[in-house]
Amino acid sequence: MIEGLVLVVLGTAALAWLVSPVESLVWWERRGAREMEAAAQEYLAAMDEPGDASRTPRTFLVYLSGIAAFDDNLIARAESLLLRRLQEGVPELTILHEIYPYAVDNRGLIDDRRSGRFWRWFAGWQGHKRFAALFNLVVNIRNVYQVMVSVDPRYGPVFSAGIAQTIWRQVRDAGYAPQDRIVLLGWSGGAQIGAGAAWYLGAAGAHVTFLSMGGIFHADPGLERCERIIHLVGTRDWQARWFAPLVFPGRRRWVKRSSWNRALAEGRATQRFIGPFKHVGRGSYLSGKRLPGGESCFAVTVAALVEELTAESR
Amino acid sequence: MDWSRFLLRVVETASSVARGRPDPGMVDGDTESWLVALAIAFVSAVSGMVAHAGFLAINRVQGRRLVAAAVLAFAQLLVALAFQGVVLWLCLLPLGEVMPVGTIVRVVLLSTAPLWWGAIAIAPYVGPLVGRVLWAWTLIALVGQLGVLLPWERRWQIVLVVAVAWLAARLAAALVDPPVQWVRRRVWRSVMGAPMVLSIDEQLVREAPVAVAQKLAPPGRDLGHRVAR
Repeated sequence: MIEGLVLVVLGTAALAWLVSPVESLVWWERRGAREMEAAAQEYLAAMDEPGDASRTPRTFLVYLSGIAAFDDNLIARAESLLLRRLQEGVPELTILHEIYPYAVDNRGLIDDRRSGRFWRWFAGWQGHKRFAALFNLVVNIRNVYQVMVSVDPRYGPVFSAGIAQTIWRQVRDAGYAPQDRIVLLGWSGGAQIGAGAAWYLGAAGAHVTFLSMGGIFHADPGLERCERIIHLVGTRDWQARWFAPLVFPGRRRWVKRSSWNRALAEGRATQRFIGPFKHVGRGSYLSGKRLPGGESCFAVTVAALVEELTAESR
Repeated sequence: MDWSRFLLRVVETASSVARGRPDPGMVDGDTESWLVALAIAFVSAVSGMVAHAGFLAINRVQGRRLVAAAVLAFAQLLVALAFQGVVLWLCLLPLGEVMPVGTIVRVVLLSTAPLWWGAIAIAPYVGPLVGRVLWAWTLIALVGQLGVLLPWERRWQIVLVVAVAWLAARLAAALVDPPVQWVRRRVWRSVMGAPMVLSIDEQLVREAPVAVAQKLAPPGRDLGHRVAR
């Protein structure tokens, strides 16, 4: 019976992996191509706006959460606190975080979608300890599949186009003008999502900075369109330090022609070790664990991000 | 025709070929053997179409056009396999093995049985690697099939001939690719009534903001950073 259950679980996971690109492809086939054309017209119109020369350029921080996210309106407590501290540290920032990075049309798992009922039912079990861990695992796996869709050269351009359109709409609604700057802050898998979207945002003429916090991303062509790339990583974060280059060949040092290594050679990209942080759990970037110096991991991470964002806002 | 028996024979034959257990009866030259071989190749083509769902989505292929696309994919696969069969037949001649070219072509069609799993190539990131593994598997299946026709003592010569034939077919295909693509696009356009788009990149070149902006913007206008590709 156990073997049967394991087979069912593995079979379901494999099937979910196989059909993971379908959402992006259906979106593109039904609406995406038309929306791209409309977005292009909007981009041009925005760039043609005369603009206010006396206005100080603003900085928009777009936050792309890690693979545990399951809704655009719900954000983990630690991440919510992080964004509050960033706002306090850099008051001139405009922070946007209502973006679900793992769906091409910004629909969270519990939103209006075919599987929404299932996810809402499943999310309701989070209060029970055992099921909370299971829920997180399933959400993580589902979102990892979407990161793979973003990385795949067949589907990535479509997926990233949808994400870029979501970001574009939100920054425009927040008052973006052509001289302003967009900082894509991605945590873990969210970094790859941001890298993909950067291609379109940069192509529209936006000044894009890619800021990764323990990001797991490949040498996406979108990195070519970023004015600056900052990769903040913990020394004990093996996922960001070793796993990413292992699964994404473009991140390896000897692949000189990749977008990542070219950016490093050009001085557009920097990698900084900000502390002895793990990727997740106690001792991770947003953990309250105290370091030998007395500060918490969370405080050190905030300080590193504030330093980078302050430089961006000048 | 007894369809259920025929379908069972197709499935059993494909299974035997994929597992490397060729049945000598598979290389008979009768009509049913040809139909079995063509049926195996057809399922392989359809499975390959599933793997290329992205291509179909960006070309917005649905309904009758989807059926036409399946037929076109099958026709293209048949032409490629027949070409590979002819090249293999020519490569066998120096070994002193003269057999009907139709037999070799049929063997090549049968060897596509592993591509029944080709739909797995739709999976993101790892899918294309799976596709390449499956194509390598078809070469192994082809060696197994030829082992039925030729003495097993010559198995290393068979492996060498298959490898040389595969390389020769790839080289020849690369040389004739431009006119083939032209014909492919023309046929696609006349059947589908719309231009063929071979990749998402190609579609995005047409519709991406940068492309539209470049079309509409005045000359010399700075539209952002340098294009990656």
